[in-house]
Amino acid sequence: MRKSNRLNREGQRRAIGIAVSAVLVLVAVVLAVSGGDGGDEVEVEAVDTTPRLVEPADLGELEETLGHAVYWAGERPPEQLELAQDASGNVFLRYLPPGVEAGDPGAEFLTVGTYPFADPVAGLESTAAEVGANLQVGPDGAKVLVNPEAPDSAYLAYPGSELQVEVYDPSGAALELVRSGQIGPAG
Amino acid sequence: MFVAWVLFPLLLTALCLGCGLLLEALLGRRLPGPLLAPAGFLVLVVLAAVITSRGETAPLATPAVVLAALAGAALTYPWRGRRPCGWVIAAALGAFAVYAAPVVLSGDPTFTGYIKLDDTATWAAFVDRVMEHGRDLSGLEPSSYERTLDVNLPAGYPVGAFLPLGVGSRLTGTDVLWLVQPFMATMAALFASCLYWLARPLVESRPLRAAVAFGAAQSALLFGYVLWGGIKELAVALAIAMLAATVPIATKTEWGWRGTVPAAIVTTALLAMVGSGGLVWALPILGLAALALWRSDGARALFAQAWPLALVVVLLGIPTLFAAGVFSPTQGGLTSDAELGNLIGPLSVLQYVGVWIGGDFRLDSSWSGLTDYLLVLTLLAAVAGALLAWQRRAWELLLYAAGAGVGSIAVFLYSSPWVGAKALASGSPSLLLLALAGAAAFAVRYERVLGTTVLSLVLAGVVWSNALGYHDASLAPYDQLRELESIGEEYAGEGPALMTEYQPYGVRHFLRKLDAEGASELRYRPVPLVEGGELEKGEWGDTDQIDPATLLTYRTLVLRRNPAQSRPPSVYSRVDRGEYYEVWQRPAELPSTAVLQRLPLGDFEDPGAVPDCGEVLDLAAVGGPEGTVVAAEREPTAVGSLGESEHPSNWLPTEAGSPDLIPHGPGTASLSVEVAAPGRYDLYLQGSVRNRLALLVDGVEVGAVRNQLNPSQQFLYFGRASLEAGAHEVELVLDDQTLAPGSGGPPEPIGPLVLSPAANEDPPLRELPPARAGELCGEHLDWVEVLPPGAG
Repeated sequence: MRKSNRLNREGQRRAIGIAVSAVLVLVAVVLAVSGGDGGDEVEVEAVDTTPRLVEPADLGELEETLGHAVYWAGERPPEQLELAQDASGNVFLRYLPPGVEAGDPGAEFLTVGTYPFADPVAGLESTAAEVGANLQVGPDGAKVLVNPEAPDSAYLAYPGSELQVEVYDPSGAALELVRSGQIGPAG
Repeated sequence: MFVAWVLFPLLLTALCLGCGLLLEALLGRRLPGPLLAPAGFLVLVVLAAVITSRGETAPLATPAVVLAALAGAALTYPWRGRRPCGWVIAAALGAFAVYAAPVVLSGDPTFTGYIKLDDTATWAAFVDRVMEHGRDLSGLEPSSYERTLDVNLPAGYPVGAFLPLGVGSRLTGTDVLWLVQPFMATMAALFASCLYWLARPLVESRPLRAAVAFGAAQSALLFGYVLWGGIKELAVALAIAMLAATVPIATKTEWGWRGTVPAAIVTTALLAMVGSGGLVWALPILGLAALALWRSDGARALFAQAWPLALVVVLLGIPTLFAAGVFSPTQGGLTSDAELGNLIGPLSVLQYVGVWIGGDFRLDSSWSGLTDYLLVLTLLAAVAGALLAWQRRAWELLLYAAGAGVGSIAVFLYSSPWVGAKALASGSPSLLLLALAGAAAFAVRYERVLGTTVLSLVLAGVVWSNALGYHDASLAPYDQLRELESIGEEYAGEGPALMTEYQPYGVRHFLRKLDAEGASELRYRPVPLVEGGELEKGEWGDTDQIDPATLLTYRTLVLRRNPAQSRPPSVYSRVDRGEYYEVWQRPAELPSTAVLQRLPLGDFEDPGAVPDCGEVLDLAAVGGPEGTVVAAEREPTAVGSLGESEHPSNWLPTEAGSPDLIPHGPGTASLSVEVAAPGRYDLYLQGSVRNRLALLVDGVEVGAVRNQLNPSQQFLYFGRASLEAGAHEVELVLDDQTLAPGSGGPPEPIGPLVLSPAANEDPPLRELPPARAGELCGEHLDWVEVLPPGAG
């Protein structure tokens, strides 16, 4: 009887051991399969580079596809929103007055560009040094640069981010737009 | 490859065995088999350190080590009853294979850590000097080599860990740099052998013990350090383990005072490797052993064993520790919180556990969830291992874990992040050994399936961590550095020389006999630029940018072939051209006014330009009517910006509008390049590449490059093509990653593309009297200079 009890206990212990082992292996496999960041590969789907009119609601989906934020200046009715992308992953949102078609070659429209960038703050710092301008601090700690020789554009970047944002306003109000906090992620 | 990876490891192992036998002869007893070669290695370190502590005796280090090994073999002959254990050898060979893989599987006898950390160049400089002259720097001319030594050796920088490498280099007649990686792989094998011994009380099964030692010897952090030249980290790891293994022998009173000799040798070797900082590990281990001896045998027995140990350490340690003053372990750079060295930030103390699934230990793990899981699992296994070791009275194992842990964590907490990370690396195998041995013991004694599962998971985690490190390794370009080695031999004594490429392996080592200096490296002479200032560390500079009077102080110029490189001033002639470098020399004796004035032209993308006519005429007047105007002709280059190419969307520019791209994956970039004149063109692409990158012009492949990492502003060369005038379609086709070492590292920027006319390889010089200088107006030139009367 005693021997049989011992065998039972050993059997139970072995069963528990096997069960715990199975759980340990399963957890490891699940973490291994799901947890990697894919190394250095940056997967980006092929993009349609044709400019097109979009609704603000479409921008959230775009952000999901791209895997990063897309910056804009908010809704500005009655102006329409035109989306253009290029092969480098840059995204341009233009605010077109009613009646202007997507792809219009004119440059007289407010435009917000979002550019994937390895170290955007360092990029701004180096550009600032080149053009002899000082970086300014914008909302939420963003670094802001306006080239004195091309004041229609203001560039901003957030420390730690991998995006650079350009705000182009042909009326010369790019810096005010940035300072007012109207430039932000669309999603 | 044969010498580096077969002959050298066998020779070093034979020397270690011989020195181990010498130690046995001194003891009058046999050491445990797995400890014989590791103990011999440390005898070799101490012997070489003592002999090289004085310049007069330094050249005797190599023959002394050989004699010691032969004496050991002779004194212990016949070696009856010694049967090498197959499982010890299996663990050692397994560790050797893991540490060898990143280089051996590359196909070249090169080394890793290139660009990432230049310390290997400094280690090579130490070995070059110390093996011949000790720490004596007299007789050295100013050079980057001399400067590198001068900031380290007189300050007492510990060099013991590098000396066996120097001995092997001299015996095989092979350059130190080609032996660095096999040296570390051999140390790893010795380390695994020692760990096999330490795991013995807990893991009776030999195959299991071999698996445990194999796994613990390749802790991910230690392996990561070896991938960037961490000779000292691995040597210290070995010494800590050996101290824990030999201290119990010292406590055996029946061995008498002789029993203390192995531990004394190990302690001295530790001091020779890292200076007095080695006491951080030695004192806890020796202290715990002393406590145990005092409790078991009393104060008298403790004193009887302690004084011979202390005497040997003092006698052998003093010459090495005080050879050139005391290397203070508390000096600023070693303790400052801001001293990160080449780290990106302070490491996590959790890396001490030895599992870190990622290609670069400086970064967060690529599989953070899995890493956290394995860290917890390993720590739990280590706790089980500690309890089981206590139960089984496996004091060596506990001594190792405690000594390594206390020492490494203390250094981590109280020193700079840079030094702290090294300490973690050296100590980390101890925790892994405890964990793996604990899991193995649990499997045998309690629950086989669960213990084996934990053992397998932890082992798999370690191996996976290191496989990623292997895949991301930064391999040095063997052919390129071999060319520098040849230049160093051929032009020895024809210095001083200047390198404008940032190439520490050149100026600190291969070109040392040319008294070479790097324009952006540690050096004596300032190298001012024409426009003011000097190059930043790591920058490349064209000879046109350098102040002519300074440039002319260098008799020899060793220049990387580069489409942005101007022809050096007219007093220099090219004497050699290889695939990667050109050597230019001026006459040995040259008046300081050999070149009166220069007009450098062009920029980085095209080192030639059409000069302003007025500037040419003004320059011509400087030499007077009898002077000579010299101009280097230069055909214009064609440049293609990759930023304007059609390319995959995951190839990103480093800056908006920059001419380069960082290729985050395979693909093809296509661009059109306009060539102004028909002719033959050399095709260059700025940057570095790990996987095969082919360049096609109008659909025809011109060439391909693979595994070529470059310092700043250097180019990949694809070959030469005959092109008609007009637009040409250029394609750059980057292959996907493979299983080869180095294939998976971070992508580097590539671009712009430069098409340089082949005629620029041999640019004609035009000499004119000042009166005809106007003929140069409108010409595309590299530079114009004026020579004094009679010099033309």
